[in-house]
Amino acid sequence: MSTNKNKSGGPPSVFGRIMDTASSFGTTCIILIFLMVLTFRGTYAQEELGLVAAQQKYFDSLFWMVEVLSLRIPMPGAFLLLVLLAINLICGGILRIRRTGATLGILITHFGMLFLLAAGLVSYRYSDRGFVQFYPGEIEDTYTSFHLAEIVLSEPIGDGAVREHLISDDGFSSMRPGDQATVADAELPFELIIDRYYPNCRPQRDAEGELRLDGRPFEDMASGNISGMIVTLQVSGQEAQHGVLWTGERHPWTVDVNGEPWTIGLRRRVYDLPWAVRLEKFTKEEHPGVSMPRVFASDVTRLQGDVEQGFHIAMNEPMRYEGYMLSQNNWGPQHRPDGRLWSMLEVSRNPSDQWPKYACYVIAVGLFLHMLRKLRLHVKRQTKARTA
Amino acid sequence: MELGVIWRKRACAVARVLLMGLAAGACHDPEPTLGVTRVRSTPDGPELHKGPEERFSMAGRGGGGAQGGERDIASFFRWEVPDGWETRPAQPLRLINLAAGEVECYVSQVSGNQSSSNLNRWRGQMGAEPLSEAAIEELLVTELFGRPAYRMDVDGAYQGMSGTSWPDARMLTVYADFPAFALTVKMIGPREAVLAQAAAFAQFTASLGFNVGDGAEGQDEHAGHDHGDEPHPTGAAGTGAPSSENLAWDEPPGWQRGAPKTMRYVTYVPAGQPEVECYITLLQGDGGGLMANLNRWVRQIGNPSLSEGDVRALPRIELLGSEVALLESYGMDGGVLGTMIPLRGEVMFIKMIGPETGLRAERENFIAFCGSLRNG
Repeated sequence: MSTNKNKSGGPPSVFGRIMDTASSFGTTCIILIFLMVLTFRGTYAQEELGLVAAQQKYFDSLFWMVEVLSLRIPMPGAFLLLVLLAINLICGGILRIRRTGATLGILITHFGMLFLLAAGLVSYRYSDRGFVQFYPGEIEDTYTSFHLAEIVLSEPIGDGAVREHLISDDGFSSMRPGDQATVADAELPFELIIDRYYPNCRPQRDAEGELRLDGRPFEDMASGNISGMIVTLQVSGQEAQHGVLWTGERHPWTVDVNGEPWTIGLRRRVYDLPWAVRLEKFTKEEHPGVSMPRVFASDVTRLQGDVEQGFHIAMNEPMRYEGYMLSQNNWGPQHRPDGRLWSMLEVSRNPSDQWPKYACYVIAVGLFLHMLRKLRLHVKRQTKARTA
Repeated sequence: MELGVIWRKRACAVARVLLMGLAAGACHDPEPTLGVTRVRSTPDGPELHKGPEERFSMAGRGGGGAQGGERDIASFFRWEVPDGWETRPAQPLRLINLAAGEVECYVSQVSGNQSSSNLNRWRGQMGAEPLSEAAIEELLVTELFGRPAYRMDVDGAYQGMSGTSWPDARMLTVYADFPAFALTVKMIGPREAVLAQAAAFAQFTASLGFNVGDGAEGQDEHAGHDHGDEPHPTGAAGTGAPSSENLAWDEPPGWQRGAPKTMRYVTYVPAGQPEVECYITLLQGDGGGLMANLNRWVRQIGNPSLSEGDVRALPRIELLGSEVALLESYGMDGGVLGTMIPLRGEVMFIKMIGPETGLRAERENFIAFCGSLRNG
């Protein structure tokens, strides 16, 4: 619905024009066409870029670049398009739509679609995903991200315990050669300068025996990328200390901070579970004569205080508890299947995990109501025509 | 208003929104300040005071392998020490370490296929501008270990990363690429002192060679049945351990013998897989051990080191009547299938390298080749 004039009959105001554009069906069509192109392009790109890189480039971004005749043209990414679609739905599908019994079903459907978009935003912004890997009998109360990293500044607090001050890679993973970042916080008695960040690298010693990082091209398979950085620690009153951090390191770098041994490391992000999980048994059976798994399952116990609760986790049968979902992801060692086997569970925490399901129910109700109304009108017209 | 005009206005408005978003997304802060995003406590802090070798499992990283591997590589070389030069102890990455007064001259191993970055890094140490790829290629004017090599002479103020510095220095570099690594000879010191040793440097570089048996050249004529005139080591005779005496094998179908290469007992190239090579190497002594060599191989293709548990979990294949570990690893620099077996007084390595697709295609042939090896 569009208005060409304001209420007094004069030319449309700026706000009016913005609302016209934001709410127009034409805008909806343009956004949906872009989304269709993006879906095809992003899906095919997974083969050349790998899953994680394709998702980041096309679906998590505001813009991506396409090269046409040596020109680089910006194209909207899925994040921007979905934000615009939400605005278009609110303006055109909720605010400006005629609110009568005739449009009740459509309104409900539009609310369901907005709920679906909101579920996506909450998942993007607030969800975590990682893995737990353990042998039977072992207990884990943390899970580790597959791809995200963090700088860990460990402060000794006595008896071997440490307080970890964590800096997520949101702030440094997009650093380019020549960029420099500074970690500074009121909680920290020093500044840590990131002199150089490498998305994929390996530590090397040069012929002079100096430690350096050897930058590598970014891998299609995200798991092949091991990031690293060159850092400088500046403690007031002390000489600067230079170090190398690497996501693949076995131990962090120990530094002297006013006489206390802090450690600084780079690792995949670690998240705490609100309870612990013990792997009781891992079962793997294959179909006879082939190496295709028939049964692939973990029996675990959730431990919280004195409470012990058993769960069976198999393919397509995840464990869901308090917003967490644990699903069977992998096992190993796969080249020595006769040995002791470990199980890897994927852990995901998504506050909006069930929202898409509820959104689909709302949409289904809205469409059903609208269909009922249309059916009633159709029957009424048919009856009128027969009796006429 | 006409429909066409309406559509044009809508499209312009959408384009304005997209351009505003582009401008916002194009902003990049090159010097951000980062704060702590969360805090957690844990009762088990990390282990303290670990050096780089333990932190990164680096024993010998960048130097061609674990300490055992480096000793083996150095034992491959032969050279003549020019008059007036002294031999210094080898350092982790200085396989041969010599000096003439203030002037240092050493042979080291570095990552392969990075000639431009390595040569320009050393130019940077001299305060010299980097060279383009084309200019680097023009330096390919000499030979080292019988291979084409770059020769680069640079004058400038030398600032080494370990603190050594000379305001008026000269660096002479000879650099040769091998399939999986590069060898370089460097001389560095005060300019006049280096100029005085230039002839000796050339003599030393020309004297460098590989330490292999005299029979190696004749292997092609003996169809893989013996070493020719290479002396066999003594010491472990009669222990029951297998030996390399009268070594024989069955050639897998389609495998063609490759050209003789230094340090290799025999080389094969599978038909249709020109980038794949399978070869046997024999070394005197214990070769540095299984763990050190397997880790050297995985690091050569850019993969992290194996733990002891990983090595114990490797599959086993048959080789000369024993069960030996088979390494199969794929990385960004291709892949490797490899195994090794101690013999009497020496150790045998059997390795197949190349792109992943080729290795996977020849995997069963490799295992069959290993299984077919026998004495006499």
